[in-house]
Amino acid sequence: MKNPDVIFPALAFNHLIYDTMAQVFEYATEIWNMDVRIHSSEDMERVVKHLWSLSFEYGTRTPEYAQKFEQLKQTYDNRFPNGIGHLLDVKL
Amino acid sequence: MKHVLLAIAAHCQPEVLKYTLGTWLETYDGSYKATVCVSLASDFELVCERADEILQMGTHLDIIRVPTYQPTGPIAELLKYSFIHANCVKNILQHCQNIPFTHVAILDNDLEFKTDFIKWSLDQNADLVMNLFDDRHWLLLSGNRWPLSWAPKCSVWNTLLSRMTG
Repeated sequence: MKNPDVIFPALAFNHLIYDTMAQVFEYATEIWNMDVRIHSSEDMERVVKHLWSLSFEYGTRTPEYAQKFEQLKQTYDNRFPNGIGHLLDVKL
Repeated sequence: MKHVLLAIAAHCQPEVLKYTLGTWLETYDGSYKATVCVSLASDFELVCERADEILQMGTHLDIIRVPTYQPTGPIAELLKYSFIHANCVKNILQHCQNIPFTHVAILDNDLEFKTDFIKWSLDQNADLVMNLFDDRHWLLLSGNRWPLSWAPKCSVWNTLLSRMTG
């Protein structure tokens, strides 16, 4: 198997992400008439902390990713021993 | 009924994406319509031997291919990672512009859903939801070098946008 990172993600170049995402939002607001509202950092922190309690980002920015990936594979196999095909069939 | 376009920029091994989708599907109760669009770089098969495991989900997901990017130099892989991720998102939005969605949820490809936070987000008066970086100081420094006027202290990985109705 090749490097499980696929594309090595130890540290993203966030200025590049932000530049491109800014284009995305510009496109979304000006072309698609989407509504993008910016929250205060305090409000955002409150929302995001709640989101963290609801989800878990596995995290691909760490150098331990290869080890974590092996753990994820085991977790995936245990949680979805028959894959996720049945969920896709029923819910989508 | 709200119709959410789930946009996932994938550049990972199949288990990572399938774990994200599987945990979301386990919590998804059908209270909103969902269309899932996954983007892959055009050279994904070259870097992932089991790319077909993702492509085979194309009967349920909308999978689009995005032109790849081949930077050079010592930080090439980092540049490629950032560029591909952002470009995948942009291409999904362009690809799906004729889908009558009411909301877009831009998700990272490596999530575990404990509950359906998309459903929770839809009930909030929030059009933009992101996750904080774990290292704020580093991000703030980045912000000083590259101004971030629209998302203070937040990353762009996980986002929810709503389409204006009026």
